[in-house]
Amino acid sequence: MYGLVNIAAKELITGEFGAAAWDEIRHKAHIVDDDFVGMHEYPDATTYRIIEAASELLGVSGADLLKAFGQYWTRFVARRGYGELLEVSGNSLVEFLKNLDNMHAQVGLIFPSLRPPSFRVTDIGEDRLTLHYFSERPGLSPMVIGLLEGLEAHFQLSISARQVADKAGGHDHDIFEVRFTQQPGMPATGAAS
Amino acid sequence: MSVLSLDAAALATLFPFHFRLDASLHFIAVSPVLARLMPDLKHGADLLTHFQIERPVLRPSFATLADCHRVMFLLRACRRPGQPELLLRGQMMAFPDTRELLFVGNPRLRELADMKQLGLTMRDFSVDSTLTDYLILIRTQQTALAEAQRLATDLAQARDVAQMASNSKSEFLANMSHELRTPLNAILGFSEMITNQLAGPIPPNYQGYADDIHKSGRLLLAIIDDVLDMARIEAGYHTLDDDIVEVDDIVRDCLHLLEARAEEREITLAYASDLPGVRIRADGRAMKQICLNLLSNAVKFNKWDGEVEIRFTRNGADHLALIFRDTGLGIPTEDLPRLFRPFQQAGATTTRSFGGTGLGLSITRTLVEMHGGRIELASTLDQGSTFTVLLPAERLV
Repeated sequence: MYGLVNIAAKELITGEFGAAAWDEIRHKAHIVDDDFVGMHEYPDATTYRIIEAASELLGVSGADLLKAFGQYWTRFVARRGYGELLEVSGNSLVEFLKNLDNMHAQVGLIFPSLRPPSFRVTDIGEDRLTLHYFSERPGLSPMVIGLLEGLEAHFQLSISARQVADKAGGHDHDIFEVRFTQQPGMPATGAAS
Repeated sequence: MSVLSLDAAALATLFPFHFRLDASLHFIAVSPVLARLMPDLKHGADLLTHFQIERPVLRPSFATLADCHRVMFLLRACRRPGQPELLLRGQMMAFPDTRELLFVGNPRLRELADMKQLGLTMRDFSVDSTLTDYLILIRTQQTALAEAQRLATDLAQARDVAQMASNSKSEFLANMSHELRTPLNAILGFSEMITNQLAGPIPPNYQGYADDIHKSGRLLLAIIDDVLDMARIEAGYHTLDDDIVEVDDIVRDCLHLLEARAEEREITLAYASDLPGVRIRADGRAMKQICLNLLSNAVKFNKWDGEVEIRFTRNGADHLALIFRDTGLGIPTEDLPRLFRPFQQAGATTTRSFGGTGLGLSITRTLVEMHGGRIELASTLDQGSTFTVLLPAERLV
């Protein structure tokens, strides 16, 4: 994965639990140099080791950590210079999710080793949709729930998601049922306009 | 089949920013995305009321526009005050049979912020549009550049902090060395007076003590000189003089200084020159220090009854080589990388066994490098070491 992911993990942990906690985690994860470079590619194992070490030392389940990471990711990339990209990726949640594959393909121009997941949106209703998640990386589906919840502020929606099919449970891919409602007093940004 | 025979939705998908004009340059159709950006582009509206044709420069008419085959058009939208600038870049296609013109293009955008300002999203562009790729590329490069600048700033700050610490250390060492030298001069002077019984006879055992004090004082002075040299080098105060020196003279002077110490341990000293009488342009004092340090090490770390050979020769066309070979302890491979660092000697016990500050080689290497040269080292454990000082051949006079 690209360094940007590890930087986000470091910032999230440092912000929530303090620099000492991060130091302990990186030590346990055998990370000698934690000055990650955003556009440099690191082995997936580095990120998985951070998650494992953080889960063990902070006493938080891996799934909860991934969910928190997903929630944090949108805010993080917006702050790291990709806010405009989020802004123009769709005026509604549905439009945004439908554009994710295109966006990843475009980002792949710059990050040639990117192995992004793929998303498909079906069953679009006024306040619901079904999100299909295809990834070659195992165990990251809780992050998708966090990512969806992380979009709440961006689209001023209340979003809830639950996994209804699990690749780890033998299904072809992960499927999420997503429900969203407009936050009071905000313009409609849920379904595609 | 003409592109105009496509249904409106297909045309809009392929060309999200298009419009069609009749022969009198009035709008027949406008793509939904463009209509959203410019709601006044109604059927029958006049092109020149809503756009200024910046390129090509022409008198607009169906005939002149139709004649612009494969010509880039820049159409500046006439906007109300406060509205963001909209410049369409594209081409005009003429259909003489129906006397229609089709414009297809894209808004000219320099960065993603322009897209946002116009109220556009990625999905307003055709899937195969390279414009969106370009905008993301620009954004990512800006982000990468910002990250590189941040890293460079962090690095510069770390360097400054390290430099300040190093300067403080060098200043401290220089001051301390100076403060230590002053009383040491008194110790050396008076111990010598006692040894020589200048103030009257003393018991023989006291003479031995005074001699020990004098020898220890001289050793301490040598260490302080090393520390002071290192501090001056690190602080950047050490500059080279431009002398003309004869290498043979320097080596022979050093051999003379070390003769007694070598004889004590029955070590043979030998010097051979392939370039007898050759003179070089160098700092005489520094060259002597380089030679003396390496020769002194070759004696100090040699075995009893060992040999030290010095050879002055050419090394290819580019270098002169002053080679110091000993038959001593040799240096373990794992100690080689740190051997030239300040305060380092081969092995943790070496300093305790042989004395010294571990500054000699570091000073030597720095002085050689200041002359534009380098030191090479080859060593075999229990067989000995060979230090080769390589100096640029252009130093030959």
